Amino acid sequence: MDIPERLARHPFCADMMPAVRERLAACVHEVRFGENEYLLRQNAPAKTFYLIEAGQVEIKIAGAATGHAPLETLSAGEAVGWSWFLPPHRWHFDAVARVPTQVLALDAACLRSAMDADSAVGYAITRGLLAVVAQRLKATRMQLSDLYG
Amino acid sequence: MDSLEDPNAMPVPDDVLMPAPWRIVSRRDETSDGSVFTWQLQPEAGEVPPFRPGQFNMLYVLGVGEVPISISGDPEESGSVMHTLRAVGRVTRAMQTLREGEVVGMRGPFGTAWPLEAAFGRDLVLVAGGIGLAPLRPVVCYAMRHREAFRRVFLLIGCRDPASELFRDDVIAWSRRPHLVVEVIVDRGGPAWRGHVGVVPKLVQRGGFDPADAVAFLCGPEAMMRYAVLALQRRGVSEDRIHISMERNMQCGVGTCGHCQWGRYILCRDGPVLRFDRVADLFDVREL
Amino acid sequence: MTGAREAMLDRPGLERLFEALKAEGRTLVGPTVRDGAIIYDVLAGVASLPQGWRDEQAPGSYRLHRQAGDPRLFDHTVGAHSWKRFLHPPRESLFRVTRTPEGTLRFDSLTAEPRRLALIGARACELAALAIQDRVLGTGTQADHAYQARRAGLFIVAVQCGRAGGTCFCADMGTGPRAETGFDLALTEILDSDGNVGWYVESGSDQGAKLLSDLQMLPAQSADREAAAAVWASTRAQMASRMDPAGLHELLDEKLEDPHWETLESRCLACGNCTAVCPTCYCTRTVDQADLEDAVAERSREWESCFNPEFSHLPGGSVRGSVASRYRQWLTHKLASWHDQFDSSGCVGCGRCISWCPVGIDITAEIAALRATPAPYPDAASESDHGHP
Repeated sequence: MDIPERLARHPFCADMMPAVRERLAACVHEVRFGENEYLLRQNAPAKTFYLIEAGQVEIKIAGAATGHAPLETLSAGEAVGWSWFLPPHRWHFDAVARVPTQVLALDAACLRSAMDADSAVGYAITRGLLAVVAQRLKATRMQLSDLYG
Repeated sequence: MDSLEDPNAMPVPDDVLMPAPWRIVSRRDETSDGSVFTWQLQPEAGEVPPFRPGQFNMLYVLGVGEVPISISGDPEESGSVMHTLRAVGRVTRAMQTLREGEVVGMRGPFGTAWPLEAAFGRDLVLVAGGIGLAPLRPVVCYAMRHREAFRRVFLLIGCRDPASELFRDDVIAWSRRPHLVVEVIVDRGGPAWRGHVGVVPKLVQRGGFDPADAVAFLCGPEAMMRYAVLALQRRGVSEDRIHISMERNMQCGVGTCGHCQWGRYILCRDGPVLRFDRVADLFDVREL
Repeated sequence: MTGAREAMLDRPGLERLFEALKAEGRTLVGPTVRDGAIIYDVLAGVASLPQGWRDEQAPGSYRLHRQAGDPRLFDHTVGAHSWKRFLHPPRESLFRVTRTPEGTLRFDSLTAEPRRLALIGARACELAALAIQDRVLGTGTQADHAYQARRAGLFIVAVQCGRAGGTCFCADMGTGPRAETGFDLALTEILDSDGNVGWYVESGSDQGAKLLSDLQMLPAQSADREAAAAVWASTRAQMASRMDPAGLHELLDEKLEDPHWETLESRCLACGNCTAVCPTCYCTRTVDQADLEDAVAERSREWESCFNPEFSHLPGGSVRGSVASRYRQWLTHKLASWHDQFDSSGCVGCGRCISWCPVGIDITAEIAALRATPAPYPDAASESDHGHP
């Protein structure tokens, strides 16, 4: 399957116009992470936007004091990272593959320039990112509310 | 003046409000902190009455009080009744101190049951949050015994952290069955936790059931059920195929004390299991 | 129906009626004056009735005056008590539980054999309330046996109201002012032009008719019947309309989240007077008490009010924290949910809640206010949220 088809299968891009996906395809390369390999590290420059195709990624805050306290796990069909979009373009968390994980990695510089050049691309990505952030915020608030009492 | 109270009057039996004595034949902690524990109970006299999954008994501790507790056992096992309790209030904290061999009062079973028949031949999706897994456990027991009843069974469990997971050994046994898919998600992971971290709606979003031909039973905190229902609706499960178990203060268990009302429903009698399309107008009303 | 269908009583006749009921082993309960109000209690005889007393009721107000020399016994309307205190008592022992030396529990019922009562002076609205309580407590697979036993043994002497009360609205609710059924005997008090008082009696049941014929009362003349009918017509004419019950169920279902409910937050004291005086309110709480060694305990059942903040208690807190939500619960249960649960309105229009509210909240005014508010916006949640997870 070629990249545009794989983008079309991923929920982040599934509703986008094919022309937009073609633009994005130019920014994509496929990456595989082995167990316990880091996708991104807290404070490092945020250069990539990841769409998970298979596997499981754990989001956590780095630092000895916090211990191993995963904040969320993300799996196939989900997206990792939005800090590449907003200055200062640095990651706020660690993301590490729990199991062998396959992703479509979109280069941030390529993405930003495609978004600047074509507002349709810009709108599609921004809208998708907002939905991801909204979902994360909702989930985080539920987790914080200690609903199980 | 004449008094209306005659202390020498003959007693008139009144079955439904009076408990019978039941003995705790076994007791185990479900969580490491002991805040959730399971009893197996047998009657001091008479038979174990049959129950349907989703029903509850009123359990009484001498002098302390009485609480409604869902039956968490296998409906086809007739020797004893299983209850899983969480120590959150005065009565359940008193229950936490009781040992094997002690006797409590029980009356019931009361309430409506999970409509298993509505799910026959379909994908059955069970969404359990925290202690909400206890009232759903009888459904899983049924599914384990009757492999052919449902097409596939999806058990989606949410809890606060790995230490609060209930029925750990059962969950492992259930997840080994090919026709049962078990997914657990926790709000907070822990050092040894390799499973999902996040909230229950995520499991619903990602679940491998066929939304066009699935029936869902939900039990857990109201807020969790609300989000899980939204996630089910977004997947395309229709409201008349979603069933929830609602909780309110219950005292009589038979519809005459007034406490368990939720809008037009008297939950000990019309519930606790309700079909969502019938209650959708009430579900989001605050302080109802 | 065998026996006498009607009769005319004078005061000695009424006294004979009371004695006959007592001779059957009945305790008479009915209106008497105590602490500035007409309440229901055991009656020693006709002399215990509130002769010459008349009440004036308005929202938040109840006043009693005595007219010296007035021979009438029933020139008052309903007071703070209703008959539920005898059929569904404020406190009732249910069972005793004992920890036995063998280490088990023994449960012993404490439900007592009911006294045989005769209710004296039940009004039409109260008979309607009794019928409602019969449905709530006395029917179904889980009927209250103690209630059924008390109810089965009753003899009811109703009184047809001689005037409209200041806050009641039975005509609106279809419960009066004239009682047609639900009584054994019904009295209509008639004051003739000479200032003498008599009572036209109608029987409403076999046991009522039998008692009438056993007592060999004076037969009623057509003039008596006409005088009684004139009383009923006069009361009916006095009865103002306060609340049209049409469409109330739908109104309250639709306006469950109307901003008007918020106005009750600062006005209602959540004192629970309304639930205490209401003849159909039935909520109870269970009370468990043990002795110091935890060897013996007793469970009893007491009247409870949904205005109590603890009423909706759950481990995470009470569901109905605000006073406004509790007021809404009470009113919507009474006028809307009751239809879903028991196939009728829960309100009989007796007006007690209006008179006995310390701040004078009038349910008929609240309903009028709700009718006047704009219809709610269509449910925003019913519009798709565009697939956002």
